[in-house]
Order: sequence, then structure tokens, then C-alpha cells
Amino acid sequence: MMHLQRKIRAGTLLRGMVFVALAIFTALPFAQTVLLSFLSTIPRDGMA
Amino acid sequence: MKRHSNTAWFLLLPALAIMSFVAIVPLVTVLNFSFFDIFSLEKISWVGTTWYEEIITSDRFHASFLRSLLFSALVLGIQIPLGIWLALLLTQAGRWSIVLLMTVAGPLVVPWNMIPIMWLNLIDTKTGIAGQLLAAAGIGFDYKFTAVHTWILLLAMDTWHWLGLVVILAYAGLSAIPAPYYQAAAIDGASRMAIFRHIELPKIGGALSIVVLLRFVDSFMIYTEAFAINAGGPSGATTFLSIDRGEEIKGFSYGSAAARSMVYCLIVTAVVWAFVKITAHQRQAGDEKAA
Repeated sequence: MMHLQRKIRAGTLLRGMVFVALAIFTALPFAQTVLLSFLSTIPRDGMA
Repeated sequence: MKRHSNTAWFLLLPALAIMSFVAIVPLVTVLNFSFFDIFSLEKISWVGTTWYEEIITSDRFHASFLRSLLFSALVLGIQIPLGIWLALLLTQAGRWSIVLLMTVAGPLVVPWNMIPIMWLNLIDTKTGIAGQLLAAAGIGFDYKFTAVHTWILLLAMDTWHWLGLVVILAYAGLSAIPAPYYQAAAIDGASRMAIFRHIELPKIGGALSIVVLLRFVDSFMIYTEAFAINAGGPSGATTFLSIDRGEEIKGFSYGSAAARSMVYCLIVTAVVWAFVKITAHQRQAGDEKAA
């Protein structure tokens, strides 16, 4: 029983970590764009 | 005996008229251009199949074709399994599944030309969040001169843009599976892998086949992202078919570009045709098995 509970808890933790990683991966470019809107200049270096 | 009326075919006329304007007329025009040497519309000369002969023997074209194929294979190899896995996890996420689905759907509405700008900002070593994190970790990410890094960036961008489509359609397919299937599997003591192999995968197969087709065609015609990131560089490492054709247009060689477009169109049409045939055959085999 204890083993099963630990397994379920580990599964939930792993799932949570995957969801956080997915949310960060998806939101980061948007967050960067919002961040740039507060900067005085847009970096030209590296821009196409 | 009941007589068949063919008047319903007239209902197709509006759709045919629109299709001829948006698809058939441009296609025939490009086909016509492909037999001429066109520098400008005033200077046109007939060259027959010269452009096609040149393309068939062109090492540059073959290399671009293989690069496009490799890119599409990598895109499908990453996004399809990852999307299905995430959709499977999302079915157990409860109320958070809606929030996460909305989050992954966000990039789908971003225009193509904005994607490279957003990612170049993100990996900028001075102001980019990811760029600064990579620099702090001692990882030199040089997408301008290192081909592997350019490919990684393109794949990351494409995955960011389109993963949501795979997740949403796979999730929709999984949500439609009736609970008795899982209950029967539980009674039989089926493993998680067996449930996926024999219940989930066949049930989401229809939606997945559309995703695979859309992702193949879309990744095969990648242009905007690859051009904005490195214009086909470094040293032609990301010169895909579309960029190869773009070079001809930039060089005012419209006849050659038109011939490349026709070959490109034929490749995509052949793949789509093969795909439709294979999926129809599989569906028929599945129906016969079920009967």
C-alpha cells in the first residue's frame, strides 16, 4: 500500500514537473517580448 | 428504376470557380513560366525543358531536397511522440488541462514572420532570457556560424510554434474514447502500454494522420523562419528547398524558380497522394477486421 502511494505521488510530481516545463517553454518567448517592450532600445545585434 | 439527376453538379460550380482562381490559374501560369527564360516580362525566351534538366542534375537541388526531408523527419520525430505523450499526461491533469491546452495553443496564433524575431530576442546574449541563461551556464550558442546550433534553433522554434496543434488534436481524440474501453482493459489486466497500443492509438489514429500530413507539408515548405534566422546558412547548412528556390527569384531567374516550384509541387502532391492511399488502405483493413 505504502509502495503504491509513493508510486502515485512520484507520478504526480513528475507530471507536475512536465507541465511546468511545458508552460515555461511556451510562455518564455512571449515573456521576452513583453520584457523588451519595457526596454528603451530594441537590440539590433543578431536581428535578421 | 430510379433516375439519377446530375443537376447537383451545378452546385459545385462556385467552388470550382474559386479553386480555379486561387489554385489552377496560378499553377498553370507557373507551369508556363517554367518553360521560358524570364529575366523580365519584356525579355522572355523559350527554353523547353532546360530548367528541369538542370534541376535533375543539380547537386544544390539534391542537397536542399535532402535537407528539407531531414528537417521534416526530425520535426515529425520530435513533435508527434512529444505531442501524444503530453496529451496523455493532460488527460490526467484535471481542471489544469484546460489552462495548459490554452497555453500551448498560444503560439499557434503567432504569425510566421514574428517567430524568428521573438526567438532571436530570446537567445540574445545581452537582453535575452535564454541567451543569458545559456551564457551563465557556459554554453556558447552560436546559431550564425555553427550549423548544429542553427538546426537546433529552427527545430525549437518550429516545435514551439506547432506542438500545440499535435497536443490539442491528440487530446481531443483521447477525450472521445468511451470509459468502458478502459474498464474492459482494467478487467483484463492490460498494461499501460497495451492500453495505449490497442485502445488509444487506434482511436486517435484519424486525428493523428491529419496532424502528420499537415506537419509534413508545413515543415517541408519552411521558408520564413529559416530565412530570417540565417538565410540558409551557415555555409548552406539550412538551405531548404524553399530557400533554394528563393535564391533563383532573388537572382531574377524566374523561369528556373518556376521549374523548381513545379518540382516542389510534384513532390508534395506525391507525398500527400501516397499518404491518402496508405491511410485509406489502413482504414479499410481496420473496418474489415472489425466486421
